[in-house]
Amino acid sequence: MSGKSIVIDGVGGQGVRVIGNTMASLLTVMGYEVTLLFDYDSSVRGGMSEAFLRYDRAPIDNFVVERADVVLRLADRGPVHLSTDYVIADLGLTKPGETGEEIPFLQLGVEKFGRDLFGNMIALGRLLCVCDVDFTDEHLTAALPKKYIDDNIAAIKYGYGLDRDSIKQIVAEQAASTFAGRYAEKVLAGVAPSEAVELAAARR
Amino acid sequence: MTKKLVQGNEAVFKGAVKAGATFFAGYPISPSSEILAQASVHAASHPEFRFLQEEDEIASVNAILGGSLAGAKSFTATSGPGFSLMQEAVGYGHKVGIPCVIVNVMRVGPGTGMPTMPGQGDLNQTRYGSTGDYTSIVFYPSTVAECYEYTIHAFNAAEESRSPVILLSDAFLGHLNEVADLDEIDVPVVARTLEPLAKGSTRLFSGVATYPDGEPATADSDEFIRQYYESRDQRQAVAEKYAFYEHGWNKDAETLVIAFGITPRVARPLAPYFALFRPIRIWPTLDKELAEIAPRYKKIIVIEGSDGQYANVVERMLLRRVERVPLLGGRMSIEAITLGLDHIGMLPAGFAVDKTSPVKVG
Repeated sequence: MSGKSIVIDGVGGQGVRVIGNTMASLLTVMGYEVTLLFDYDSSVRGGMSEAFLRYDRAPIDNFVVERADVVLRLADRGPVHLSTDYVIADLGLTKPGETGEEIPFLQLGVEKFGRDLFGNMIALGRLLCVCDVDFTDEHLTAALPKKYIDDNIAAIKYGYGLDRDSIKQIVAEQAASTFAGRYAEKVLAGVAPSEAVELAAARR
Repeated sequence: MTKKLVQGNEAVFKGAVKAGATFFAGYPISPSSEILAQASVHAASHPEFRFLQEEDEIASVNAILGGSLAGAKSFTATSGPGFSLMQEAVGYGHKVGIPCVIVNVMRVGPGTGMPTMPGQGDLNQTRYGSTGDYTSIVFYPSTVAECYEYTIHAFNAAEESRSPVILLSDAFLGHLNEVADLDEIDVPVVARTLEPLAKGSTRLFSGVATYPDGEPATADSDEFIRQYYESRDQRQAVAEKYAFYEHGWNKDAETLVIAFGITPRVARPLAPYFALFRPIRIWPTLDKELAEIAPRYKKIIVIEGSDGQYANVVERMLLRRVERVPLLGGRMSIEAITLGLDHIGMLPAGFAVDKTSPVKVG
């Protein structure tokens, strides 16, 4: 497998750093050369938070990703000029003309694992699957922090195991819930992201 | 061999510890704060290492000057606005002859500017920031592994030159996580050169011009000039031992790109078309080295994260025209570099630029 350039696009508090750090640690454990650069806006709470990750078997010179193989989009605050081959996004976040998929990660985290935080690990699992990263349990165990390790591994594997059919089914089930819209509404109203996801997930 | 994912700021801290640093004083400021955080955590489990969070950068730099005089290899870390506040103490450190290391993780200035965006606009400040004439030794690494390596060199140069030595980094390099094997980097450590206080002798530390016995020499030009040249020549001689640079890419090309820190990494797709000169010791300038290399090339382009600070230096050094590609506003990207090259008519064939891009260059 050759290397890839990944961008994780979100807002502060959504877990961009957690996903980026975990993926970078996993790839490092697997023997890849990895660069991971975080970019964030220091002036606004809930402002943009980006992770630019590159991995390869050869040393990496340019760590600035200007064209991504895959973008994981948890919010749409990323570089305007960034082009990408494939987008994995939470509901309602793919743009016209983009090739990709939408999955309600944060809501799945709440529903399947009891906390929105695990939505990050589900998203990571899906990202690893799309990138064709062939990891083992040993790699995961070595890469993940010990806290919640079993749940995190389960969530990553759940995300990794999603296929197009199951995604279609999940999205159809969630379509009526307008989760993403409610979530965005709460965040823009100043609610902390962790609280916003709980409020958005609550059925009206 | 232990390859690990290491952050640039973390590598700086680890390099400092490897170099024998036992005192850090600082005040948090993006994008350098991880160095302070690392120092704080390290001090909690290493009683031989002392950490002090000060009320501001003026107190921080003066604390490390005091710590160094008291016997500890000392350092601080900051960014543009904090580095500005430190300048009076930098001059004092040069006048008195106090070894210490100041890490400046550059962001976009002036003022508060863009706190999390990378800039390279503090170059002149690291050379001319304080008052009077002094010889500043400054290094600027390019990779996380180099952050570790050149932090050790910075401490060594500080000890040998008995002066504050500056290690430059930037928001990208400081926050970059990269796979590195720091254990593989073997830089011999220079032992402490300054006798600690409380050894029984009386010592005078004065920013005022004095004779060796401590009497004021504030009106004795001959003595001042004697001391100035002595210290300048001694620090220049030390700097010569640390003449680090890279001459690479396509050395047979007609044009030489001069770039430093993160910039040559971002510009790497241009490697087949240009030769590269990457100064790692930024100050004193690498006059001899560049004078030997530059005449081989018809043209010279300086690509840098400021509006020509180093380009002006190179032009003055070589007494010939150099082209400029300024990367401003944190825009460190191949898009900005190729637009800049296109702007000066030096974009290699095979590269296309988006003429509608809002990125402004030159």
